[in-house]
Amino acid sequence: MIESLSALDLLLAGGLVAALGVVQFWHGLQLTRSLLMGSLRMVAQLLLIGYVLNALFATESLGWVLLMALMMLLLASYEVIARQKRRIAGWQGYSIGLLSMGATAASITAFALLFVVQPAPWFTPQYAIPLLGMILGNTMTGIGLALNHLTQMAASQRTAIEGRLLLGQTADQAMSGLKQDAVRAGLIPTLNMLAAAGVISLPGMMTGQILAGAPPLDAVRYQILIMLLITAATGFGGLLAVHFGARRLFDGRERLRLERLAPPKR
Amino acid sequence: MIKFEGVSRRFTNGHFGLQNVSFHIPEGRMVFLTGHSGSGKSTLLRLIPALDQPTSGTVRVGGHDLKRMRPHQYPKLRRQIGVVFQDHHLLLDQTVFNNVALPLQVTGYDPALIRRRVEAALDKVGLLHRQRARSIELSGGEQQRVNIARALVNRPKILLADEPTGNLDPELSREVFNQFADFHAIGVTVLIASHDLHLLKTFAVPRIVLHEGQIARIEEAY
Ligand SMILES: Nc1ncnc2c1ncn2[C@@H]1O[C@H](COP(=O)(O)OP(=O)(O)OP(=O)(O)O)[C@@H](O)[C@H]1O
Ligand SMILES: [Mg+2]
Repeated sequence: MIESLSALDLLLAGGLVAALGVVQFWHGLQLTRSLLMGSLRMVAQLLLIGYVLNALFATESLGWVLLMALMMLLLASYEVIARQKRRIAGWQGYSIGLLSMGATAASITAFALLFVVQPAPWFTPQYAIPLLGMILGNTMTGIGLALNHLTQMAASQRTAIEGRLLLGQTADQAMSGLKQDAVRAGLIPTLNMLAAAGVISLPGMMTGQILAGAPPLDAVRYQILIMLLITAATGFGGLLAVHFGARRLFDGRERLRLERLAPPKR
Repeated sequence: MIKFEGVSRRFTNGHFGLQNVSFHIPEGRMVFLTGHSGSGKSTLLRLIPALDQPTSGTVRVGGHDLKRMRPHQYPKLRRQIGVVFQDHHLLLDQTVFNNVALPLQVTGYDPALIRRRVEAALDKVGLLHRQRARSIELSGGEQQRVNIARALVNRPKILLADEPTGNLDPELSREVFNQFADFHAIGVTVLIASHDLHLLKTFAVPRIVLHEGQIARIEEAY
């Protein structure tokens, strides 16, 4: 009963984007090229991952699943740091991303597989990879926003922070307000997602499941599970990242070390 | 009290903010730090409360080598140093009283003691009657005097000031300097960076003259 899509079906949808490109070209917008490249890239990436998943699902081997998970984790932590306006320079920046994301996304995915979803075997790739992917995607955004807030505020409020240090506050005391703000900034997309779920937007995963023929209530249950997992992962991930990030901004002498941030990028 | 031994500070861009600077200010002395804009005065002052560290050489404050202290000693050191820095401003949405009380609240003193100390400090700078005003309502000169009261409320052993008269008229500037001299008179070690030579010359206070990060000369008081 699942309506499978043929290549022709997709070409029809592609026609819409092509039409958009033509209209933009007429209007002299310089966007046609990026639109074309973006669409082609998307198709290539998705096809590639489709084949990879196909192969992965066929093997059902823990080693391959872990390797895939590790690659996703590395890519995501690279993305977190690369997108920062003022990233923490050097390997420390990347390891803060990797550590906070690995510690939360990986352990929460494992938790969900072992105790909640309980497929047999627990690492069944049909469950493990999409779960990890969704959790990673969201923690990546949350941690990125939290770290971005932290480093930018630390740089712009240098004198206020140093003023507090001069009053005899410890680095922790001097940063406490800023750290709270950063954690909050990282959670905002998640909070918005929770508020909008089902009312303003139908979550993508649920929509996909329903389109693929699953009964709506089953799809809803999975969606609720995913959202709870995402909320926990972004929350804990943000806390960890802000904690490690703030520590990196100070040294053992309770001094603010802004030179540990890479120069601003636009 | 403050001792620099061969201190250099090289910034990440390769520029030397300070180069091989040595001097000693004994306890209870008052000294001016002067030199053109960009000569390294602020760079030097930031090293004393360990907000920054030299790339080579040793800074000693109160007998401690600032490189060799335990982490928890740095906040304690900073509480013994009052600072009036160029770019450290008041919390403008707070009252004058709250601004001055800040350093004491950090140390967790009893509120009655805080009140007495804050009022005494504000009295010294002639602003006791404005204690309930919000800081934003004060003139630039008054704000600067609140800054000074805040630097002194903790009864520091050392007072550092960076261009404390930056935006004050000559009369107020003189008043601010007189206040520093008063604290010097009760035993506080005072180091003031300023390029207001006109004003400095009217005080019988030794001067360290910086030029491009190095000590050009030390002029004794006359
Ligand atoms: N973080 C930094 N990175 C690179 N160079 C710096 C840094 N801080 C200061 N400098 C440079 O070091 C030199 C000394 O600066 P400093 O602020 O100590 O001068 P100053 O004597 O206080 O000047 P002013 O009278 O204008 O306040 C200047 O050339 C300045 O540009
Ligand atoms: Mg200066």
